[in-house]
Amino acid sequence: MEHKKLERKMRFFLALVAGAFLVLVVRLGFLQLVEADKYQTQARQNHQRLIPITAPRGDILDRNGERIVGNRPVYTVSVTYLGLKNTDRIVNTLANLLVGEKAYEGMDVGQIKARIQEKMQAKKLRLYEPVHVAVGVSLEAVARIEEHRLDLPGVVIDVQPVRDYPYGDLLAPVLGYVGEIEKEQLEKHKDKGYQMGDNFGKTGLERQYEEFLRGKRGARLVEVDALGRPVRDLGVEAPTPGNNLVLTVDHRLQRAAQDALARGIANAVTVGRAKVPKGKTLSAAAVVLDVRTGEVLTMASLPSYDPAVFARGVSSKEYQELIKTGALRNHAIETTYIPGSTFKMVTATALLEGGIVRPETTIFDPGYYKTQKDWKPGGHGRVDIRRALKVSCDTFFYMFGAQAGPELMGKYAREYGLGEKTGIDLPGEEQGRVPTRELKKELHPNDPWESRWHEYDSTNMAIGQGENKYTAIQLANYMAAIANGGSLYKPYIVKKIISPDGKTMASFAPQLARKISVSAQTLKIIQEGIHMVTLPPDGTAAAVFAGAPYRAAAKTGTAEVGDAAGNKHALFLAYAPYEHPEVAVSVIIEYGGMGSGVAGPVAREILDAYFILQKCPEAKSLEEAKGRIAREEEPQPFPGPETERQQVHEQRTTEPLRSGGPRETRPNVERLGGSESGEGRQPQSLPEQGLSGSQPPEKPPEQPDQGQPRQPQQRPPEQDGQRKPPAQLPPPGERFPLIPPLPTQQNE
Amino acid sequence: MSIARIVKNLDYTLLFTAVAIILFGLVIIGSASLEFTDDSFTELKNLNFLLRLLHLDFTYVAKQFLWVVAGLFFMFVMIYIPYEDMVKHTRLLYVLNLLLLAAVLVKGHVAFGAQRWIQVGPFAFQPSEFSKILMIITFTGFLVKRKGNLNKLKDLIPCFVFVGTPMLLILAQPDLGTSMVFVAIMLAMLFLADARPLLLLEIIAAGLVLAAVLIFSHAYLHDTERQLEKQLSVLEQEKKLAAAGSAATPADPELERKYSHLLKKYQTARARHEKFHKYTLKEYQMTRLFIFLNPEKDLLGDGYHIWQSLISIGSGGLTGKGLLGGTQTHFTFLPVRHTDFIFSVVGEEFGFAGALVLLGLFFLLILRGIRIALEARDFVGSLLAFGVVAMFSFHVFVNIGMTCGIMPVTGIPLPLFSYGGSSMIMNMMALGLLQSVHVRRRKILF
Repeated sequence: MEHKKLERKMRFFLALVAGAFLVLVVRLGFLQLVEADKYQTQARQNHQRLIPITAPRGDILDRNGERIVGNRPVYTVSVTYLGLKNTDRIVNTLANLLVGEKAYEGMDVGQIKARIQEKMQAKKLRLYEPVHVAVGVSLEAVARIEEHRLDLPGVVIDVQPVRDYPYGDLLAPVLGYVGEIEKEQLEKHKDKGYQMGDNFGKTGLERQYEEFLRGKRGARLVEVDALGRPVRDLGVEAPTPGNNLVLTVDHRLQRAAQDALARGIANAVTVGRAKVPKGKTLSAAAVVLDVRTGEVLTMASLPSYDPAVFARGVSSKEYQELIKTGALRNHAIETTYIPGSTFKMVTATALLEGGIVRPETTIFDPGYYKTQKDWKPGGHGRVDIRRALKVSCDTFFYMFGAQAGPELMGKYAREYGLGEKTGIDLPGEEQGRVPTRELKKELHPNDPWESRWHEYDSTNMAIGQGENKYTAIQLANYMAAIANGGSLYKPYIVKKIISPDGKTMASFAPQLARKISVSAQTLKIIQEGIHMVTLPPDGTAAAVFAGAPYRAAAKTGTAEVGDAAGNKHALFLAYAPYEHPEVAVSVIIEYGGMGSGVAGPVAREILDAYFILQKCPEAKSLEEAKGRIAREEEPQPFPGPETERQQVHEQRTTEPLRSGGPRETRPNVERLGGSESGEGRQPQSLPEQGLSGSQPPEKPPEQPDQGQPRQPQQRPPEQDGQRKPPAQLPPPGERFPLIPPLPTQQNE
Repeated sequence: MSIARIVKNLDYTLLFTAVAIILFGLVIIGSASLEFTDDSFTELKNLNFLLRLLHLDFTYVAKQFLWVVAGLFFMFVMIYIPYEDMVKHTRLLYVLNLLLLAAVLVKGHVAFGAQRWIQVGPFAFQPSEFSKILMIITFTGFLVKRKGNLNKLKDLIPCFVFVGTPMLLILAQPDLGTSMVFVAIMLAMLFLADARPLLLLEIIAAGLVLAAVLIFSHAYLHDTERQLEKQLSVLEQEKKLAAAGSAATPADPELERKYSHLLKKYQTARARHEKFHKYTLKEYQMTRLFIFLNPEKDLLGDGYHIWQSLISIGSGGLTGKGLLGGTQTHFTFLPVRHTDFIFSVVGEEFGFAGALVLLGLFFLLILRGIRIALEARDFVGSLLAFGVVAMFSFHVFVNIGMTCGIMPVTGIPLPLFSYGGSSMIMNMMALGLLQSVHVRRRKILF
């Protein structure tokens, strides 16, 4: 009986235990059979980390293959979130080791710690991806961190490519910079495989060609332990570098242009008497276009900056400074300037095409038109359209501009591509604007007087004042269209895209935007007029081109800004050689004061540099090219009859002006021009060069370096004076009226 | 009883089951304590099972083996001494038990937030383990006299006091797990000693209700405090804004009144919450105890152990990743893998199949224990054997339940399997007790 009871109880207990075990078996079965896949995935995520390898971005090369932007490897410190309670201590140790590093310049331990924690916070939701804490860490810091390896679980040192700029600030605003992708951009480009922490082109070419430059991220699969320490490499997928860009820009010419422009800005204050408001940094831009193709040979924008600051992580103070000075802005395409007298070719076109003046129409300029004065007190006397361009006669353009009206002038401004985007392959291009009646209405909606178009608006417009506003690239392209006889090209800056293994992915050919509808005769007159600008005695750019070994056409511009201090932008457009134009240049210096005296010398320097480099295509720099040419030219046996040439020019300017008038002097001039510029000139620009050069053209230009073919003492003495740099004096006539008759009035 | 007779009458099924569990345990301990720090482990993949055994980490295996040898000695002692003699000294053993437990509180050292060990020479020894077997022996002595006299709650109160006194000392360490083992053993032995089943059921129900009340009242107190705290911080922000916005004008009296009112409410709520923890479990204990219900609430904090254990077991699948193939184990994601969470290693490396084998061995052990209790010569023997069986069953269920997320994490080891000297020796002594009862069983079965 007693035993039976015991047995019953035991059976009950056994049932209880069996039930409990069944619960365990069911639970285990659920975990290990039903949900096994889920947990297997989780286990894999636990111990395997996919560590991304940043792909090196494509290089950016100049037209000669010289690398302007490359990559260099730097050490990066990353932290993997471990879910450890002592993360705070690890961050603290790390912050201590990173004091004094460039990425954290001027920060104390507390600030660095806060910065690191901020970065880790941002990634909180993606637990096991490494967070970049410092890019470009010094070798010493790497050694320090390695020493503390054991105290720093989860801290990884890696090598990563960052942007490298061997030429510093060269072309910087055009190149743009690269930074970590922002949230909005990430959202927008998510489907293209971007991730947090990826690089992204922010401005300029880096932005425009982002998808070509970025490359494809690689990855390393690593097995790690619970502390995130890598135990084993499971495999590497190598990153694919981005494609390289080959630009149309020549880095040597770019350097020359940037340097010249910097000197131009310095002259703005000393020569141009700019009154710079406090806190303002003067901007300047210069564009050189190949008039035969629309290739951008140079695009300079000042102030510039060294984009390397972005590669190592820019501090917010530095960034603010860059924003404030406008260094990040590409002023050549993103800033519009009042063109001043450089607009007069448009007016001249409108007058000729509109039949308002004929080539021989002559006026007598008394120095004023109605209430508006010419820039030259007392006027220019008898003036026809060529001379009006030559001396930049305001009265002529006032008078006929008033007749032409905004529609006609506006039509030809637009015809030359002014007031419309050129379509260059760079982001952020500004459109500028051509004055119209509607624009006036828009600008002064509540002013019954100002909202209407008046005669003075036409006269202002005619001399490039008023609401005219254009970019440097538009002006250069407009000059190029005049130079090449009416072809308006779409300027472009990237010539080719090359894959990392050297295959051409894409190459860009010149693209004709349109043939402008201006008659050849009109263009010819304008070409002649602006060529005369460069000629003595009273061409406004005569001094600028004094002694130039080539002939040019140019137009100066001094555009009144309309501020209280009476500041004026200095502008200068030119193309050369006059006979067979190759390049067009535009130079704009904000508050430069005088087009001829400040912007002109910059353009001259750029053109000189261009022709020197043409002679010496493989020189590494302009200085080297100059040196070579100096050595090469020393034995130059031909006399440079500068005086003779000047006589010819004088004669031409005083001749009665009719179309084709200068024709008869032309062969003479060409021959002389050829002789004075010596050998090594481009064959296509001067086919008759064979006459003047004693050196066979097929000889490589290095030749003179080794064997001295001619004796230096044979050099005629007058050659010396000819090569002296041109005097950088303002042209004799160009100055400004003391009292402008109207606030928006512009004189030159 | 002569040694020869003992050897002849041993329950060999029980013995070999135990040996199988211990050997399995040694292999798993050797695997669990091996950490991969470089890629040399990849070579292990090419080895067969037997060769892999040579690559175990033998540090803990050797130690555990030492404990097994010591355990064998103590087991034999337990077999050799007639169990009736032990029960006779109930009073002495009970006092010894209390003294040991008190000693822990006075001079034990702290590890993992609890005071459980006493240093004896080179060994750290854990009296709460031994108190389990002492409890079984002394409570048997206590109950035998009261058998059949346990029908009213009044009758049970002395039992509660008897078990409760050492239990309180253990709770003070604090060691909630072992205390629960005491409760389980007590209830099982009371059940065998003819306490009214319904009464026991009522006690269990009352316990569950108490636990529920504890959880819900805590949740209420906790949440109210948090909510008030949040409201208060919002108001504080508003106050600051108001102060910054109008430094000249006096603060808004309405806002001020609302703030002080809320502050008072918050302070009372906070005081009540604190009082609750003062008299019951601490906040962190509550969290740890009940996190298994929802480990995802804090995967990287309190839920980490359970989460990693679930990943280990779940990722093992049907057949497991093979010995030394467990990534959770060898990349050290799984915490306390050679002691409390050793079952997760079995689950990961040997899968569902391996887990079933281990569960089967334990079931066999329990089955043999029940048989021994049934065949005991007298009620003392039955009670002793049953106490041991109850202890084993509870341990196995709670430990394995904990690793697969259906039981709270309480630090109960897997008997004969987890690494640990005190636990191993005590469990082998318990086996000795079973064998002792078996050796002296009734000869004639009916």
